[in-house]
Amino acid sequence: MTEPGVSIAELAGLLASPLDPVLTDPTRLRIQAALHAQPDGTAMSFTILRKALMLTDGNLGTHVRVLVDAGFVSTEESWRGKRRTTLYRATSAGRAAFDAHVRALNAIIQASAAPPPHE
Amino acid sequence: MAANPPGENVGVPTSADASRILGEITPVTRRSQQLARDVTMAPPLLAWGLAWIAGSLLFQYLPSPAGAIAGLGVCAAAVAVNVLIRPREVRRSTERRFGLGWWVLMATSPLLVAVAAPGNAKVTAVFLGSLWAVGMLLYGIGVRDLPLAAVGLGIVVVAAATRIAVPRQSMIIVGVAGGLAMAAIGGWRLRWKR
Repeated sequence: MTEPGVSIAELAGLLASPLDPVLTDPTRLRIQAALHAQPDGTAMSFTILRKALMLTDGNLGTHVRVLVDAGFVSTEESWRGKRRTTLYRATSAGRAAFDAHVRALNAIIQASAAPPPHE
Repeated sequence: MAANPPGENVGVPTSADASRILGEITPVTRRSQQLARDVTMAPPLLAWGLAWIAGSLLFQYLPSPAGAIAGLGVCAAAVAVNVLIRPREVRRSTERRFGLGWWVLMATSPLLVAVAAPGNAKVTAVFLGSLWAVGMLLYGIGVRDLPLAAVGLGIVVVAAATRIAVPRQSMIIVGVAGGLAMAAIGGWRLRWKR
């Protein structure tokens, strides 16, 4: 059974849209989720991201670099004296990809709950 | 650990996997929003909370005009802390707009005092405290910071209630209770540093 408001045609359309390969990795999806949770344009430091996700520096650094290379996350540097802080924010492309990926995951759940089509 | 290069074929997860993946996102979202609130609001809440407590005690127990001057002095110190201690870890897109809103509220406060014409200096202090508490309430709504909005609303309610019930103690009650609430939340929010 589909959720109210979602037609079979819509469901088929959602399932037809591929999952984003960059966000298929659960760690990258969680990083994107942490940035997506902030209002558009809000940036967070590496330290705050690490605390939000409870990841090691190396793990976070590796995956965040992939997201930056994919254009899903942008960076900016902020200086106070000689101390540099790198801030990360979700780009419009990253927000759209995250939304589409979450929609696709929801569609998988809905499809599994839907009754088999009649002949 | 290896990061998968983009563009490779992706296997479709099962329904159980999809549920688990989506379930893992929710706590991350909550923690991210909570950390952003903690980082941005801990120093100003702590500074203003302590300023309200010290200012109201000085105003209440020091003879005039020394008490009023000392009270204004601690408020100026709180403003200085807000300006000088800006968290670098989170930069909100709305920071400048809300900052401008606070400056406008502060700058127009004397004009509103002139309009309301409170009876004496202590009533003026309660009036200003209530006005800034409304600012906190609106800011809390704007940035979806429920505890901050609740403290703002609580201060306004306490100010109104004490002005009616115990008018002579209104200033000290509002100052100490409001200050304690702000300082407690500010202190609690410093936990992100641990």
